[in-house]
Amino acid sequence: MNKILGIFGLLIFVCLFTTVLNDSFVGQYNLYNTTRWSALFGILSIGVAFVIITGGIDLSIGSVVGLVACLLPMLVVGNGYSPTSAVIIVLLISAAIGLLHGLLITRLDLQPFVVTLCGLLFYRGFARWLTDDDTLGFGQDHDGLRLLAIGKPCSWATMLLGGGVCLFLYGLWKLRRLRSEADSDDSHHDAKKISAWSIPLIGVLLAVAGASRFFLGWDSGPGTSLIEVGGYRIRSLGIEVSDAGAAMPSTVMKYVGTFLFVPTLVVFLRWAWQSDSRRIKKPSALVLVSLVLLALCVWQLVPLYRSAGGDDRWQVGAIIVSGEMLKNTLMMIVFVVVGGVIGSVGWLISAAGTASKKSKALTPALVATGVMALLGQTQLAATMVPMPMLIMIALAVVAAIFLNRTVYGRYLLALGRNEEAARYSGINTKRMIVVAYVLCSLAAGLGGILFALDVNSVQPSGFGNFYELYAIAAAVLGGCSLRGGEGNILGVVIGAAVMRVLYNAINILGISTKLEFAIIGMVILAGAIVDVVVKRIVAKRAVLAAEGVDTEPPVGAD
Amino acid sequence: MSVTQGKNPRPLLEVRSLGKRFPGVRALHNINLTLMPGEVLALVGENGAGKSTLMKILAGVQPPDEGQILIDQTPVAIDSVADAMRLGITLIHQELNLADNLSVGANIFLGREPTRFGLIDREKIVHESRRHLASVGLKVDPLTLVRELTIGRQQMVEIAKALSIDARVLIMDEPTSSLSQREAEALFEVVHGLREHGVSVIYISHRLAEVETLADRVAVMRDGENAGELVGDQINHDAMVSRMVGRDVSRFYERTIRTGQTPQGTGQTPQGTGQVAEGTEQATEATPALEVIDLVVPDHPKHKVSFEVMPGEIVGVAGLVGAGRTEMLRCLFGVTQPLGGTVRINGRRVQLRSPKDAIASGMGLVPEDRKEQGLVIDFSVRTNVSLASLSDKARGGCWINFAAESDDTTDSIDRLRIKTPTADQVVRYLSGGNQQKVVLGKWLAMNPKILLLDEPTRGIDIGAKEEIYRLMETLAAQGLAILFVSSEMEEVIAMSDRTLVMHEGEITGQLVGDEIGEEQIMNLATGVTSR
Repeated sequence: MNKILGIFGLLIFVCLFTTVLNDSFVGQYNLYNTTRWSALFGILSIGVAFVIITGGIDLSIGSVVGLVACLLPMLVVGNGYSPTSAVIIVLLISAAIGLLHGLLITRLDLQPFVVTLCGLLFYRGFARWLTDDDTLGFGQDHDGLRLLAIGKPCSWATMLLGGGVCLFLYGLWKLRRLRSEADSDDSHHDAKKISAWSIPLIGVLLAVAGASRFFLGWDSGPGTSLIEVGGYRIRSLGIEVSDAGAAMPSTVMKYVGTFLFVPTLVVFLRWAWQSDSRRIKKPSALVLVSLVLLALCVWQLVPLYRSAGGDDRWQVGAIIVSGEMLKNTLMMIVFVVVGGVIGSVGWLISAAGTASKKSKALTPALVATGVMALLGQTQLAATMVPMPMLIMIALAVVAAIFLNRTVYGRYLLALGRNEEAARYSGINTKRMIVVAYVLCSLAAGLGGILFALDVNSVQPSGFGNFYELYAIAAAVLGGCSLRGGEGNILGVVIGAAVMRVLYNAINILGISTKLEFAIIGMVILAGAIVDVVVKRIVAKRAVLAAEGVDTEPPVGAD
Repeated sequence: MSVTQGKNPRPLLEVRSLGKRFPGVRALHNINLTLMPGEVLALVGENGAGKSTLMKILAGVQPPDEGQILIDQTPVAIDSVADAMRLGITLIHQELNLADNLSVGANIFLGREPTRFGLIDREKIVHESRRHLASVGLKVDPLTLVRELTIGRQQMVEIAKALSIDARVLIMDEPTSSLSQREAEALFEVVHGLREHGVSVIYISHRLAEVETLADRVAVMRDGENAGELVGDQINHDAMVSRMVGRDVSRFYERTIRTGQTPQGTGQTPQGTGQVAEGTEQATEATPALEVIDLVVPDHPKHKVSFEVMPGEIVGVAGLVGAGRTEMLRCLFGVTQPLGGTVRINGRRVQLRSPKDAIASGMGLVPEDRKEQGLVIDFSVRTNVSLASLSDKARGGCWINFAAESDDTTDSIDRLRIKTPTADQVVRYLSGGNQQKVVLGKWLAMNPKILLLDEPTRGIDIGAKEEIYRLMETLAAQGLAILFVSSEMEEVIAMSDRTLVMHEGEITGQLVGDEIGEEQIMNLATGVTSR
């Protein structure tokens, strides 16, 4: 949970930072593209997460993406296969690739690194030979198939409505469960009640915000094609609203979010303060200071940043500063300040969470209202949802259920941490490892299909290069340990989004794209360092907390 | 030259009010210890008493939180292993720290290789190593790879390595835990030799008999604090145990319930005839829970193993380390594949190709190495307890039944008295005894018919041991067949209804009831009177 909050904080940090310096980041065009690419990379990351959870690695993802992206247009355009059968064929091929990897690793005891490294080289070379290095694409035909990648099924407001309703129903179900066990006298009953009530309430808020799109009236239009399978077209409902109506959800979120966030925050802090004021004194002071600093920055520095042209000269004392230098300097200051705000708020939330169980239970509500207030400042609600995003969300939900609710997911986690103990517990570890590699390659295959349809111009030599590293980085950022046995899907999805947003920020802020890898590398390293440092601080705190407490069994001794 | 205590009253090493904390626990508190030159000081205490932590601090592996360490009456700071070595303190870990892909000589000089013209001087290494190896009475070629040596000899290499850097204090952490009797005796001789040379030894062991013969002085620790010191004649088993547990204890556990029926016909068999599986077809009225006929374990392909275990019977398997007992259990549990033979469970022939098959036919194995094979140590108590029964109790074949998981965990915690703050506590932070109970809980959740236990009480404290014995009795009374391997003679004698003794992969005999005695077991285990 803390890990997800951490990576989510990083996502918000990068978004806020970019928005403060260039607000076209939250414009519809950029949001649409960023979410689409995040979703495409998210699909790859979810796949590789399964392999990483088993303690393995898959380096062949990028090449599988490249191979699939070559095969699909070859089959459809070159050999006249129907789109449906072509998609099924390439998915089967990618599953077969995963099966091969899994069998080589489990039956011949080869190391995953070696097997998939050879895969990386082989599939790339094979694809180039197969296509004779010619650029492939679908041209202007096959729009029906291409809708899989470029379709825009609905707006984000509709997603909010749908998600809100789902959350509401889930919350009701949890409430019923809480009722049924209410008679057991439980010291944390209050906290449980808070968390059980907050979920359906958040659902209602989101649903209302989403539905507000229709408050100003709506017309039914012709609708657009969403997907075409075997001659059948699924069309969107074609509900159209005016521009003012489309802007409503943002407005609702902005006001409702802000107005609820402030009292929630007050209650959150009050509870924490009442149970252990010592813990939250320092972080709240820091939050105050950093907020004041941020206000100063927005008020003074941001206009300066926007007005400073590259060729301008500024006299600062005896030094003449160029516009470029000034921009860079200002950016760094804003960077530090925004980071300070996010960091201190994160510290406050975690400190309050440890101080009071009730505060901890309120965290989701706090985060949700805060995020709503922020989203209200963007044009996200009026933006269309890219089709890959829907696919990725569906995949993520299925993957999360598989990992957390089925025995197979549990087996993957257990064997990832200690394969021998898992085997001694009667788990067919070899088969489960094969399953993980098949899932990974299938996800890579699906990603390859969508990438090919999206880009529509596939160069066999370079398409998908380094994608495995983006996917692995996203999984690691999202809380998967390369030692295995650890990981969660939500974190991985957020991790993929962070990678994409970073890339986007580099472009949109006019930072040299040559620095792209350097910056991404730095951010991941910083994330890893913060993770380790926080773990140490937590351990140290646990020591202090345990002082004088002798009830626990000895730890670490002998 | 004998013990030099009398002549030189100044301590070589002194520890003053040392303290150390770990997350959630105070591992050491106000520890005081002195060590004279040329003295063998034994350090005893239950698991979790803080012995290993104290030694790690002395060897520079971990820093202390408070207190002072003095060497030759000068306060010193030991911040790293290198510091400790410079001061002449060397720790020989429970798990040896040798690079087993390198030669003996290379290991002895690891990290301080003599060089000649910037290159490693192999000749000097060989020459010098030979000298050091001779001082511990080990006759191996310094060019032998370490992995080709037995554990006992590897330990000697470690000691030789310590001597080669002029160690003045040698700390041995459970040195005999994986040694055979003969290897252990060789080790004791070396320790005596060290004392003659004025090297001080701090000797940590759970085996109190060893301590009695070896130690000049015994320091007892309990719950991270000093719990008394014994010198000379005071050193005896009962005195040590009562200080370790803080109360008087009876000499060993005594069974209160004996329900086990032994297979008929074999009960009259004179000891050590080797005809174990004789007459099982007609003579028994009840079906054995586990019947093994001519099983050929891959590690000992020359021998066939046959025996049976009745429901409600506790059968002990005794033998020296390396007698093939663990290998036999692993083979029975489907971890390795037998080269021949038949296994029957409740009279039905079964094929055990994997632990999964074994579990499906009602077996559970508490393995020798609980951290590697028994537990996913970084997972919670709940996850570990449910791991084996997860798929049986799953709803619709694949959905985890969280309610059953919680119930099983609560049940295990209550029934086995697992001391854990919550069911979600990470198992790593439990004591050894409680970890072992979690492994047992995993199998109890399965309702097994046959329980295989491999050294079930290794490395756990006396209180937890007794609880595990009591549990074994209760389970047997409920009709479980229990086959347990143990290297602790008292344990086998106290717990078995029947004892099988193994020697080099072969069952050399079985003992029933009053026949089960130390001498009889040793004779069979060493292969002296097997025929």
